[in-house]
Amino acid sequence: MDKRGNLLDVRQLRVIFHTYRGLIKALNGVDLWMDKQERLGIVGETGCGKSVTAQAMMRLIEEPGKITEGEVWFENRDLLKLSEDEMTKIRGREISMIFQEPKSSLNPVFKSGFQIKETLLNAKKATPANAEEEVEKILGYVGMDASRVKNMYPHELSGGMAQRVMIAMALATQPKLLIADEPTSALDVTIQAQILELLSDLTQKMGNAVMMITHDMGIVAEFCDRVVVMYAGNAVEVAPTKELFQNPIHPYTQGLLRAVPRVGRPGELKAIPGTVPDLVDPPEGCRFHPRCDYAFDQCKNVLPPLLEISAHHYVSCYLCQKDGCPSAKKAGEEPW
Amino acid sequence: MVEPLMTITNLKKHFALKKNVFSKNVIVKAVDDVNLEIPRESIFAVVGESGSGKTTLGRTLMKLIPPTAGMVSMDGKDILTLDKKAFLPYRRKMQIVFQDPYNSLHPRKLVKTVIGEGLKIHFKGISEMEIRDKIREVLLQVGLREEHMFRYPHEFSGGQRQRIAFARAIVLEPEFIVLDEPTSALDVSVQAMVLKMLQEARAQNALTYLFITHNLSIVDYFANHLAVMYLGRVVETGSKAEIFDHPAHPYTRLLMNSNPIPDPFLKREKQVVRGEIPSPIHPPSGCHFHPRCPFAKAECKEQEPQYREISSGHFIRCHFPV
Repeated sequence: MDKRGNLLDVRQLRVIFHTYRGLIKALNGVDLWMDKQERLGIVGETGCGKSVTAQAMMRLIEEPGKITEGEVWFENRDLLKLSEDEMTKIRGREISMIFQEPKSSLNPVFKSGFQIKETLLNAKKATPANAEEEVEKILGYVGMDASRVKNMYPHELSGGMAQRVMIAMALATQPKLLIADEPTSALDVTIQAQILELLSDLTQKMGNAVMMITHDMGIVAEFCDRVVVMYAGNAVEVAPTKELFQNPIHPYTQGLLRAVPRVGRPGELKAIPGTVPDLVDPPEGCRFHPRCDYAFDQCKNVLPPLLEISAHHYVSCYLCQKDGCPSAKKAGEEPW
Repeated sequence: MVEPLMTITNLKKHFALKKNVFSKNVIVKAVDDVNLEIPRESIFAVVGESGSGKTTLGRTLMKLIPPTAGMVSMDGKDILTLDKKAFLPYRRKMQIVFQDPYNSLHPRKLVKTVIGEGLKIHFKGISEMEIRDKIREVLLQVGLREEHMFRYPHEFSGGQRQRIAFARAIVLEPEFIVLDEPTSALDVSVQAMVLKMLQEARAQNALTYLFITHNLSIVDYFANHLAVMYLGRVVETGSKAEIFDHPAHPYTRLLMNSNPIPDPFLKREKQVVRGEIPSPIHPPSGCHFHPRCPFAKAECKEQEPQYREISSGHFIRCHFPV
């Protein structure tokens, strides 16, 4: 089997959740892949499945959720086939994760230094003898006053500091992949800028790949090499960042980009008509078709496959197969 | 210049914190000496990081919390000194929409009760039929349907709830609405719809908005006047065009620079602000921004900068404007 990325290749990932309302089809066959040292952005709106994708990859989906289908190839192993013991060795060591609410991700009753030390010892990246020293070194890397911060409890840290501690813990084990799930959404813009700069510098130095889950197109533009756009449980468009902004093809991507207000480009914001579908009873075929201006019969029946329409640019849309992406550009109009 | 709708003079809101029974009260200056003029039918944005006092400012001038000192005059009348009865007509004229549409609507009341309640207070003797008509009218105006009045808030999405909260505000035919981060809990595509609806409603009803936000991209798109707050003080204010073209305060510049721009082709030297917003309990001496300011000099540490006009309508609180 051909691997599409040399670090990660997720194929046809499906996740469902059993709820009293019925079966939520949260992921509907997600495809994505990453190369080593790459920065991949995953964008989409609330409920599109971007966080569930990351959790499923890490096998963190708990009851009432279930992974029903798919493969998650990480280097040469399918993570979904590993035993729980083997998986534990991957979590936090080869793949680390940081979350949106840094304060609730830290254990409130232990000092931050202790929590980093624990991670290091677990991953055997330090011995009890030199652990203290390593902790200080790592806190220094994330730009903090180590001797002070290591003795602080999470409630004494500000949001920005707590996120730095989280980053320190996540990168302490030198993982090959860091999954950052909305790491700056709870922070102010000036602190967000600091955290993004820190992530950028550290991951460049350490040479690990980053999967940046976000809803902010600004962060995608500034941080990511390549982007996956998700809608209602599917990856609908995958492209290098510049290509995606310059030549968005999927009608949803175009709508999303037009809805984003931008400094220096006042003008009308165009909203996408309709609302995100209820995933208990999602539309047949392409899940975007009820909101799509270009939908035709085929869209309503079968989910379009994710196909490469130009170099490294993948789209899941029948329009491209029909008459060469008519929706991409209207004459004389900027793509978005 | 046209007569402003609202003039805020030396407005202060200080909170007393008590650490324990023995210690002295600690004063937090959440809003400190704010002077602003809000032009009629404008969209006036207040920007700042969390803890800058922007929400407290909105609530104080709505008289939701009592001010420590200062004046807020609307149509030439100081509304803060009015007693409850005399204030009632002004309460109708000024309304507020809160940030979180999931908590600001009563979960056990029908939409028609949520929207209609204020009508009974402010329009004495109004008949049920008239109330029904008014509710229908505002629901259509905010892009909902008539039958929605018989539903409960939990049956709506976040964007729809924010429309209901806005309908509740405009049904009283106000002149001035405080919008406290009305879209920060919403997705971008929903946000675009809500912002559009707000713009249309403003034009139709000749409204003035005080728009509290932390998102500069929305300000550029939406507002025509702007005040930047830092630790309780307004550090820069003026027309949007003036401030976006010539930001004079270093903090405004850094804020703009931190704002991620969705354009991968844009090359810019990104300057990252050092440090974090300090605790308002012990704000830095002199200019509050000096510990984070790249241009700070000795004077900034010792002397509080005066609030002064550097060009027509463009006020700034800085010793060394850029």
